[in-house]
Amino acid sequence: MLQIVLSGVSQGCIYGLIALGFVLIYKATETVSFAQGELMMVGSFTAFAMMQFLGLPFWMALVACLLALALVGYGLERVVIRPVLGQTALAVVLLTIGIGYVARGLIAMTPVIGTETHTLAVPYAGKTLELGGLVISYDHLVVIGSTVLICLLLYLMFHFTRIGIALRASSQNQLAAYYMGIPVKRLNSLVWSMAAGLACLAGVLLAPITFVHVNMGFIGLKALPAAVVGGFTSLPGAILGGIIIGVAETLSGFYLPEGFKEVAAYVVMLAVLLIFPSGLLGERTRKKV
Amino acid sequence: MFKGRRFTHYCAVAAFFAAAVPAHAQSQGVTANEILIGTIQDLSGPLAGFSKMAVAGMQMRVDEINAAGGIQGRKLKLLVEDSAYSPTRGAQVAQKLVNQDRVFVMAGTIGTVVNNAAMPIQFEKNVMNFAPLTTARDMFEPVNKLKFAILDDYYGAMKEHSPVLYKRVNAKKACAVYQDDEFGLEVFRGATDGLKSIGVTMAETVTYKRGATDFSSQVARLRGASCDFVVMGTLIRETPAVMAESRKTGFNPTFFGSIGAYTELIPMLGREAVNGFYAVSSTPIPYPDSPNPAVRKWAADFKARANTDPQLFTLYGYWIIDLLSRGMDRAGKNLTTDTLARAFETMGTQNSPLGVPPTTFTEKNHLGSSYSTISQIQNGRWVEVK
Amino acid sequence: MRFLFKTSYLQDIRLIQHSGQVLWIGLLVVGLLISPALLPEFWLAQLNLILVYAMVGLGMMILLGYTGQLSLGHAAFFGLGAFVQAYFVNRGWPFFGALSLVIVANISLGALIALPALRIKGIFLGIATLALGLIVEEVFVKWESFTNGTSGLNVKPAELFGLVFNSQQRFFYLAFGLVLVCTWMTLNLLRSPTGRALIAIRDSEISAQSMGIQAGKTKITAFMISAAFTGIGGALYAHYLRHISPENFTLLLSLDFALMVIIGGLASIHGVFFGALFIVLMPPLIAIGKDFLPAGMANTAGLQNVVYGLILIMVVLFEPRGLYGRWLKIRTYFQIFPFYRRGMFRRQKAFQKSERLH
Repeated sequence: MLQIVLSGVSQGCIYGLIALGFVLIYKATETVSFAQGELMMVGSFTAFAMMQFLGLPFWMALVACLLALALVGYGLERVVIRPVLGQTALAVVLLTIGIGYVARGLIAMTPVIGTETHTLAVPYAGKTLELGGLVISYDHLVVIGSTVLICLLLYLMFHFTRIGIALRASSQNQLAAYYMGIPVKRLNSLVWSMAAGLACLAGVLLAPITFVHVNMGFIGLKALPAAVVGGFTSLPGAILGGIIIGVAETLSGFYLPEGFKEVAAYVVMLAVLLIFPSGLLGERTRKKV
Repeated sequence: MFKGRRFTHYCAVAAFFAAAVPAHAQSQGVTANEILIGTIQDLSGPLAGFSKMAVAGMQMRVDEINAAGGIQGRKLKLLVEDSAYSPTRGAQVAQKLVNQDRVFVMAGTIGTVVNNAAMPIQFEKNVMNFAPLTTARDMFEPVNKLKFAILDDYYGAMKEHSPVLYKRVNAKKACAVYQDDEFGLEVFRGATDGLKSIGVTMAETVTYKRGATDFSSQVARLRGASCDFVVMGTLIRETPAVMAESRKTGFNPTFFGSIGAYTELIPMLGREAVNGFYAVSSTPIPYPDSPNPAVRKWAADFKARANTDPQLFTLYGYWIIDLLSRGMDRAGKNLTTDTLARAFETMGTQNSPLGVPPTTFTEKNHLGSSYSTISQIQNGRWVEVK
Repeated sequence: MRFLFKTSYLQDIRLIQHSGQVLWIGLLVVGLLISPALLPEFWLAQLNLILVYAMVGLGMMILLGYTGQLSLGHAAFFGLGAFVQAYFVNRGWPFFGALSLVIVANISLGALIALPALRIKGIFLGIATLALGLIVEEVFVKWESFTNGTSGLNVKPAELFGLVFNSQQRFFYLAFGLVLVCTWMTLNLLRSPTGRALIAIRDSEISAQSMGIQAGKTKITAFMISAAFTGIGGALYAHYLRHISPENFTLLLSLDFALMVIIGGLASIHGVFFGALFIVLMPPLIAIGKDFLPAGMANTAGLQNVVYGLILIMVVLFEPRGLYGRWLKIRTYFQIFPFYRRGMFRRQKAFQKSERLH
């Protein structure tokens, strides 16, 4: 039973890692980006291609991938997202859906590797850790560790650095942010680069678990409930939401009849939304008339 | 003039001849120097990898036949369309191939749902559905002159081989894990019925949704039931994931999968975790260093063309066109859907030097082959075990 | 140039504003009525699919375009309509009998799904409906006695007054008739007080409430009507495809529906049909265009996704009013030629305001 919960926590941290990307973009620009899953997939493929064709060792490939994806994120923001600055959030959502389609299509069109499934040769593959009867594999440990570390770093950034405060300000009231001299457009580019880099990291860490293939981005669909449950404006909430969803899934897979495991994430999300409309740790807002 | 029985009689005669005309019309897709073959593949969906290989194999045989002069003086032309594994798009591209491009025959269409959406459109225009790359029973049953298949469904093979393997490995308790769709259900039912014949029932059954990546709870349940023989209704990614999770938690039963798991991708993805995995197989995987010299040559030819090693689906695609061309050759100059069906039913057993099991169509049986055996992954490679 | 001279209040809600509309719509209807005789079968089949999608588009437009509620789970209503129709028609029920059951079932499901909408707004409603759509899809897979599980159902062709609709030509008239009636119903809805309540809710819920409009009741009504239209579309789809299974009704289909009305042009009935045209015709056009591309590019996987995504991005970037918006600009150019100015349809520069705090 404890093993199940542990597996649930590990799985939940996977969702949490992707959800961090969602929350990051939302906190800074108040838009939901449906492209995180696909960016993650692009990151995995980039790392795979670098290790396969350029022969880079794992750590160098990881760093190179981070830089490459950050550049891609910046480019996306400049070319695609910036022109719709100021329009409704729906416009950005649609753009990110479009980016997702294009990413899936382009990767599938890549000769030789696009349509196949691959593995990434991570240095800790296959190893496991045993603690008092419970087993956890290194892949999961690394995911949990990095999720917590990144969440901590991001949290510190948003609350104790000027850039972080500027980001939060521009998400609350863009016009006022402009008045205060905050370079809104440049900060948006920065956020998108960071989110893309985060997606790359998530992609590389998840590759041993989900394998590298063109549809691996659909796991982002499970990370969305995680972000919603935790509250879209809260970084620790993303992890908390992820863990709740992960544990709910594994428990329902073990104890409940067939079929409940697949919908557990969504049922939990709906239940939480109905009771806490802003998520568990989200900012409680009331519309003032 | 428009009254009376005479007029009705004339109308009836005219209607009779009008109805009789289509039966003698030339089948579409066949001209004096060309035959159009259509195929609906999944080029942008979950089966894209398989489709790419299958198309490459089909195109290779088409090019070979055309280089040798074609069939009865007619060159073959292969028209490929993408269904993205969506039945709606499948119906749309079937409309294009059948009614716009006017193909003569559909071969190697991949995916049960796509075939089911395309077949009504094809059958309305008397276009045969030949050797689809799917294993549903209604691809060849009930016997219909427009349906010919070469892949047997999972049920029969699992039913036949599960008790055999169970006894061979001296198993004591059986369980199953399967994908909750038509494929997984068939594998599960076949294995259950097969094991029932030797008095064994499943101690525990777990399922998962297509695309799932976490199997911790499923494996935990199987482990809790202490089974030592696990039937796997899984495909490419789930097989190594389940086996890796099991090895991790110290659960090491005998794993037995369907032919859906007989693919070179599984040892590649799962590495050490999948050694020892058994699966149903029929056509052996065409490894470039296969013991069969014909396979070695064929694989080398393919590599020279396509710059990559062939896979199992490449061989399927190649064989489908090969078989089709033998039937068309036998049907002769007057090539229609009816003459082709007759040719298939009367041409007897067809053998292939590349390891494909012998294929026979008869008037009562439109499934070319139900031969199957068991293979196992040993040291990262599939080996047939008798 | 045409000047509309208004002499009575009732003119504002008249269905046909001026005689020019009578001419063009009349031509369109006549043209469509004779199309089965003129179009080759392939294009007629696409036209039928366009009509089915347009029916769903009417539902989506009422919900998204006119009430402002984003729903990414409409495949659930579509699938429910298809399965209910298939189930009862296969058991011998008449076409309209089964259709009325479809409407009842969808209205109930719509009211149920509307309940979260009362408390959740904006993109989160989209996520919630996405989740609900996935849950309903799973229910379809598991409820084998009703849907036959993943093997799917074969559907008998529609039958009305003894006439069997088993060819594309006959199906066209059935679908066209239904679409015509439903479009007329939608137009009536929009010029009624309920319709205006929907639009008020979209523009500003709080202002609408202070004018006495009950937000909750109106939203539930919108969902119910939208679900009913989508269900009718699903029933037509079942008869069109003749074989349905839960795998047809995935998240990608829901996305297609939402994209259809957005690309077509929100808040316009023309947008419904433009969007349906686009969504249905794009895959075959890509397939036909592939024949002209060099072989290397053409046969690669994923081309469809790339084209789809690029068009979506370009529409959002360059023509946020959708295809109908572009058409409106072209028509206005010709209508008031040569007085058309470049900035006539320009948006006001806006700054993004937080939806949380305003």
